[in-house]
Amino acid sequence: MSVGNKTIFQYINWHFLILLFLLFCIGVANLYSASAIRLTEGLVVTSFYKKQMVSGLIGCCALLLFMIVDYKHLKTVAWPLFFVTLFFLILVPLIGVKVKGAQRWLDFGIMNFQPAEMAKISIILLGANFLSKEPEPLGFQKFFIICAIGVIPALMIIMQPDLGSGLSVFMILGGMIFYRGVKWKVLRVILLSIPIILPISWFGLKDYQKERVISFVNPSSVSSSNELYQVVQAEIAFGSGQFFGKGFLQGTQSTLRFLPEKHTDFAIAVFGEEWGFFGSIILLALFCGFLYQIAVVAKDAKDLFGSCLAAGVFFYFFLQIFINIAMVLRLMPVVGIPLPFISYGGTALLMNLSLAGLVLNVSMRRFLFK
Amino acid sequence: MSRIANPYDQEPPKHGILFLQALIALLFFVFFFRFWYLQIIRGEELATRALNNRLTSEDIYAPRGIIEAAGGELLAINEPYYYLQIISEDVKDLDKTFNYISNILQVPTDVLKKRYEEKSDNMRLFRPVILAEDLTFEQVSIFELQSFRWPGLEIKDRPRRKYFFGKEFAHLLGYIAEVDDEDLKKDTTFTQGDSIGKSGIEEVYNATLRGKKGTLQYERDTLGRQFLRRIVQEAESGQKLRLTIDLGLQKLLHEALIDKEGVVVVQNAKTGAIKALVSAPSFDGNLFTHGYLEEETWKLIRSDPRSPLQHRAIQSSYPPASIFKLVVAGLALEEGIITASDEIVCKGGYKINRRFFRCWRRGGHGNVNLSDALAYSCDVYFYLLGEKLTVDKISAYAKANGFGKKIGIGFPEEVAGLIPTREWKEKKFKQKWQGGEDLNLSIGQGYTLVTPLQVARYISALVNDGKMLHPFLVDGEPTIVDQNLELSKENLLLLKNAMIATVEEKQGTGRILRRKNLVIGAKTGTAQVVSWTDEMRRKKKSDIPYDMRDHGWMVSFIELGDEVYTVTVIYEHGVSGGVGAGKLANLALNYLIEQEKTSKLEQEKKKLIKMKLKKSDNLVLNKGKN
Repeated sequence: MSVGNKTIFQYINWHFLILLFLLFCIGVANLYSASAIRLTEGLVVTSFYKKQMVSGLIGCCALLLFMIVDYKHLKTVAWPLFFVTLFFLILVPLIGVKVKGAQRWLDFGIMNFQPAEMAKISIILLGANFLSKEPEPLGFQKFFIICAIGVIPALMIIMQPDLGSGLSVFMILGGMIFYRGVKWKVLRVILLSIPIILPISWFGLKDYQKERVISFVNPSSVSSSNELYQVVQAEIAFGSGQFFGKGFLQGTQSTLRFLPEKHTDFAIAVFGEEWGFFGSIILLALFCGFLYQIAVVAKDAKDLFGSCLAAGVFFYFFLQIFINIAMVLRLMPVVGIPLPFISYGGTALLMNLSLAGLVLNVSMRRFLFK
Repeated sequence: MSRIANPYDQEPPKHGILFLQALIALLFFVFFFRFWYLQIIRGEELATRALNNRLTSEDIYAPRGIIEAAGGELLAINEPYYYLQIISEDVKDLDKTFNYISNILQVPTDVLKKRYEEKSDNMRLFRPVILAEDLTFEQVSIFELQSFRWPGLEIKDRPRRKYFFGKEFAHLLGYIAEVDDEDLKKDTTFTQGDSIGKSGIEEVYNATLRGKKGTLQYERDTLGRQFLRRIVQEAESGQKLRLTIDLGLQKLLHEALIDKEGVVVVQNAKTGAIKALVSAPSFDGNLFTHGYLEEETWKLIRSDPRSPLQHRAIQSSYPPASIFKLVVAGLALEEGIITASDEIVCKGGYKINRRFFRCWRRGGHGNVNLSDALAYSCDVYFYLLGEKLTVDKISAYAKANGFGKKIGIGFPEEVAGLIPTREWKEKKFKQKWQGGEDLNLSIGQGYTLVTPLQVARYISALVNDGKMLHPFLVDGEPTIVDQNLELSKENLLLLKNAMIATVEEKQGTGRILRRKNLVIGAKTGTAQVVSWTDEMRRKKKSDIPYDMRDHGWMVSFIELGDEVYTVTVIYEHGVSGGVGAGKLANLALNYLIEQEKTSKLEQEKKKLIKMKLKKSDNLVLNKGKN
């Protein structure tokens, strides 16, 4: 007990915080450019970037909140939160708001709220709680139990339908399981079952989801579809940046509106167009550094619960970064997943900063009781 | 550091940390190479595609070359043609705007709305829709003045062809129209909406007249809105064409032929240049240039029994009638069958194979030699020649002297005419050539067909020392000798003198053209439209139905100073050459004579002025010396 509460702030992971700040600033700047539209009068910038900054400020409060409260208390809320999440997920198909054919939102008057996001946090807490109690790598029994727990919210989200979020929930948990480690025999069975599960899951997809996959595998087969237009324009935007890019606010693909969803899911295409290979690599390096710092926090955590929490957050960010960039750059079918800190979206930013707070929380307290 | 024992507390899983680090490395390398591939390897290609996305270009229409008459008078120009278009996305209040337009154009709102709905396309925003075409200058100025109040309305202009003498030059100049699919296939430099000459000079000289389109480039967003317009390439206007046609003469002859059917060709025999080329009836070439031709007007023109669209000078062929006697006479002289002084007796007809062939003069011409036979157009004289020469020689000679094939003046509608042969008849009618047909052939009746321009070229050659010059219509074209007539100098002179005799002799059929102190020669012809029955012969000429009346030919030449002009007239259903066609020829001759006089006067004036100038120069010089 040599380290008191007053001094834990000394142990803040500044590398992580600085990287976080840089990514947020790049995100706002890019959003400024991405929301610029060429009209006859000249370049007009819509107010997305301002809203994002306001969300950032609110997010900072959330970050502080998640940082200050000792994370050990989260163990006790893990299960209750899980059940509350399931409750909300049940509510979605009953009273949810329908947007573009999918019921994903709950309207709480002051704000709309996506239970799927809540499920991600919940699964991180519950997973960390469950996994940290295991003294050794998981055997078959524990593996199936934790998987079963994860599958329930994941499937409910997929039914909404929101394939991206549903799979994310499941994959975050999966990442955490592998982080904790499974017994060798379990791993073998998992690897063998992949080729069986994949074709079966194809039939579970909705038509528009199948179309995304087909357009990805064979672009010419659905040449008329909106999806293809989107990814082709994104590819043109990103690639046309060449080495040094066209410069800030100079992206023609974005200002002349050839690029759809440019301020949300496809924001990195705008970035690539204006900053080129040079800027894109720097952004990629920043993301890698950001993830590396989370991994460092996971490694240095004082207990397995903290370590697993950090790992959960790691997967949360890793999956979003990987899937989003891969989708924009045509390495994957289109799934609506934003790029953390770069894409516009208040709720997502709030979530991201909260989880960043959680990482700082674990990091600050790494020397306690050690 | 003390460590509190906790049964669940363990070190972070080492493999797990490695797993995370491996994932970071994977993330970095996958995207590093993807970035490299897209931005460096394919960067240039994708940059080009981005450029194509935003840059769009539009044609700037090149003004078509203007066309002038020989004296520099404008015949075809381009006038701006205004139309009103609407971009509904920019309009504040569509109903009010329609009311406003309706007030100015005096077109009901419903009609405007209907036009708008027919042409607008919901899928493509910011696309202009043309609401009204061919606006008057007043309408344009109202729209322009009020334009700030009515966003979304635009007045646009395009050059359009305008013919000042639409009817006089309709066949000659032809007309232009929008390119069709076939034109687009033939010439890839054309694009939809371009104009192309569809007949006449406009078609033949299309390449010269059309000029070169320019390019306007602009940036475009996904909605099609335009920014940063700039001209990348200026349009080059087409070249000017000056015709050899004399506007005054053309107008004069056109007016004389109004309500008639026929052709007048005036050619400069020394150069081949065409001085007038009138085909009647005519139509107004401006009808075709409005971008649209109303269906009814088109039907009316096409169904007109007098076929105004027919360019009779080259597209119609007529029996040459007695004009052909010049050809037969020439052949007979060349063959040595007759000499100029050989005489025969015309008793009003000639009997062969129990068939009687009449001379047009029932009483006969009595004793005639070659010159008399041509001057009086005695048929019997030529029956005798025809019997001796037969179809073989006559046809071969006629073909060798430019008949029966196209001249190649450029107009695709030109026809070749017809010179019959034994083989041709057998093929066509499965009948042998009859001896009597030789006689018919020798006076230019029967199957033989010639175009007025062929006749004009032949007559011009006769009076140009046998050199047959290629007729041309555009100033500056070289004089081309198509061929030389197969006639010796003496024989050429004989024929020319016979033509002069036709005018000068009291009995000459071309006496109507006679003028004192001027060398004028002529040959008349009366082309039968139908074989006349004896009953018809007895009738008065005015009692014969119009359609059955004969065509009248009058070919003539006039020597004026150093120039020789030929005037070729065919007057459809004009009964006989000497009268109707002769009057038309006289008009042309008078004009030519007057023109010659004035140009002589002007030359003298110039000479006088020059002399005066020289004198004053000398004075100045002298003063300088002093």
